[in-house]
Amino acid sequence: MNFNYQMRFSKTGRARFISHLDTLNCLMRAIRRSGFELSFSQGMRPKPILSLAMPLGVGVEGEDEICDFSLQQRAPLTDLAKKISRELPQGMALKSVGPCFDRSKSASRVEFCGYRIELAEIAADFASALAKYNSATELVLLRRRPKGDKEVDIKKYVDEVHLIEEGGGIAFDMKVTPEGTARPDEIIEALAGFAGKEIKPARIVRTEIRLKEEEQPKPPRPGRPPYRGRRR
Amino acid sequence: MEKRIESLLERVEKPARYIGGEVGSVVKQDYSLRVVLSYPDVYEIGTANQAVQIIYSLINLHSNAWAERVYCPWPDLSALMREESVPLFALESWEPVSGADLWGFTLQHELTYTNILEMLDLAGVPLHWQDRGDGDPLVFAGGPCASNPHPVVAFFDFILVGDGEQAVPQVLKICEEGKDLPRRQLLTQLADLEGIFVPAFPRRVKRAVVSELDYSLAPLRPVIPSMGAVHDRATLEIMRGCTRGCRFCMAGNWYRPVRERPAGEVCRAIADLVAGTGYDEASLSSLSTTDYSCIQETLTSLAESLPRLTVSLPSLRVDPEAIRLLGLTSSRRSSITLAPEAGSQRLRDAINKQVSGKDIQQAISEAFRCGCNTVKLYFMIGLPTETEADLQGIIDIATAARRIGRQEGENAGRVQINVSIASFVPKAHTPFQWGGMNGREELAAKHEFLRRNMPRKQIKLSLHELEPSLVEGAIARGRDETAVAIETAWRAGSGFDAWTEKFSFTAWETGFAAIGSSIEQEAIRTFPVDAELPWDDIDSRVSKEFLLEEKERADRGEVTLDCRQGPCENCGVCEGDIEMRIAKP
Repeated sequence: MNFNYQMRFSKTGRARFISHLDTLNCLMRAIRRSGFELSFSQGMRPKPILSLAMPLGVGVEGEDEICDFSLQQRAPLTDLAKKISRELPQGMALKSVGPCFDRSKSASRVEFCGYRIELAEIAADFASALAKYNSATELVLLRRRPKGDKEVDIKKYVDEVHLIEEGGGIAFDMKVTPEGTARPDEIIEALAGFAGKEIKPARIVRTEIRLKEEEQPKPPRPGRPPYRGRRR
Repeated sequence: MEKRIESLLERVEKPARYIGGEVGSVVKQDYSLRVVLSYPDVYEIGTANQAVQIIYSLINLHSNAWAERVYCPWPDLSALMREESVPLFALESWEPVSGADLWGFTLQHELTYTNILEMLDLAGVPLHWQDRGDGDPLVFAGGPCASNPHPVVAFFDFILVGDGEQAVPQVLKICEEGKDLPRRQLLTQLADLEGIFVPAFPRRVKRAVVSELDYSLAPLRPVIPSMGAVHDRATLEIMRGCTRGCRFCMAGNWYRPVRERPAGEVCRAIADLVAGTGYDEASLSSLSTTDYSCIQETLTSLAESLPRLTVSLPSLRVDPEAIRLLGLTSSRRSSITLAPEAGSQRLRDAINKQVSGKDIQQAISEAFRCGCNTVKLYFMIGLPTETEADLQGIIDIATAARRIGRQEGENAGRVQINVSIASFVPKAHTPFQWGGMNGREELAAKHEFLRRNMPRKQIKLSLHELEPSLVEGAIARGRDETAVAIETAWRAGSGFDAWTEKFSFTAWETGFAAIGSSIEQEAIRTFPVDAELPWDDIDSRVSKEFLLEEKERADRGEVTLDCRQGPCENCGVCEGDIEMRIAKP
């Protein structure tokens, strides 16, 4: 029997340099050290059932990251929370953990991510660069990848970029689709183009991950009892 | 400082190497002394090192001092550090290493020596002990290569020779009490301790040996790397020392006598270790794990109490019984590693590797029957008294292994024999310390012979690179002058020499040319048996007469029995409370 849980955690400060795979390992070991047994997948090479909703780029902080995992036994929640919290490396902190009744993993249901990018300095004409970005109908950039460069229209994923009122920086929502998504540094690249000069972010933070609601199973039709096999 | 470091980390590969903050790392606010410990290679290689881990735990849990760690920055970071004047910083505090009271390096391998200089330079600490002042840390070294410290003694204020568990607390005490004393006075006091070699006050030093492995000092809450690292599993030293008496082996000769942990302690320690680390694999570490007297009971007990745990047994003895022990560990293996070391019985007898041809074949057979499909065989070439017949023997063993695999294995087509060939490097304090290494031409010819005659089908031949091995040979039995060669090689661009892509033969040639010699000349050097050796001032506790007797037996092809079962050969190491400790006599 698998008992499914979802935890939300933050990864900030120096921990932002820990890679996606290494983060998974840290979480897995923290759970193990806490005395709880993770469930394993079946097949030739059983792997622990633990996954993140979305990878976080190296160097990007995350304030509300999502991790789905399964345990072999039901765990008392306060106990689970307290123990896992103690076992995380510096910079990673547990925000909440609870049972998860969703039938599909978070990774398949990510709809939007929120980002906040803190800037060391805001140029005087920055607002006009933002306006140009927001009013553009499309913005195609070349994404360099080891497998081969690809053209990406970032406006499809980030339509509007806002200036944060106090504490110089920008914020935006990023759409996540099956075809892909944009990267925060691509948004910065585009803005730099409009501003006519390089923009150096002081901090890049993913503020939230929003999941699509799961389709609830259809309730049985009223009036008729559910079919229970051959009539006796 | 923090902001400057973070800005550097945004521009380098694998920045997680430098962030610290790992579970198990210790930060102290109040401490008597600040000690920094280093393995001179990059983080993901260095964290596996048990010597640093043992001393780190010892200092942090059992003393008032604070131990931090630092590993060698990868060239991309060190270039930026120099450009932007950011000094080497320790992992836990992110504070400059140059502010520490003590800085210790573990000398595990000669090819890491240039990284020591790199780290000293990055920290802003003068390379030579004579140039350091009262504001600089006392820089020391320990580890197996401290058995012949002369090639690097110029760079260290003192050398810790042998086991550290008792010597380190004594060093800390002197440094704590002498906090306001000038450097020279501290060194005078340190020079009086057993096992401490101080170049400022040279004298003959006896290796420090602990009479038994203290349970309370076993590192049961090690630092757990936050990023992928080698040997990333729970490691427990189950015994120190070895009784096999293999003549080529530096560690076997140096770490005598064998001291086993009591049986119950191993199981208890592993359970503690696994609960405290969350690892699902544990390694029972020693020089010859299957020789541990309670190995069978230990493996059975672990399989019962911790069925999910994968138990790793490094250094397997080559015989079918040892392979069967693997069956007691609850995991299915697809490959095992055996080290016959020499291809013929004659040569195996000469190097005292007491393994018969039958043992090898039966061990391989047992491995295939247990479900393995890959067998890795380790051999050395360039051993003393070696002839072509011995090389042919390597080929014969490999082909026999393949035949056995095809017959006994579950899937004849999947059988894979991997043969790994290393070049023998003679080491100090062994029976072979007087003889030279094979030269480059001779080794290359042997490589060619193996390449031409080893069948290719289902057999993979890996020949270790010659050039790094020759440099190792040039340094291993070096002397004080060798330090000049090492420094010159580092200035000429050497670093991360154990990494194939970073090793530079030309930088090392330049190094040895600076002392009027060459890599080859140093590596093939022989010493007459009555000569004074550069490392004679380090007393390993094993007598020179014994080593010479062993050398002569090697020339005659005679075997010396394991002193657990056989007679005592009077190697000289057992005296007072230093003696063999067997868990189950």
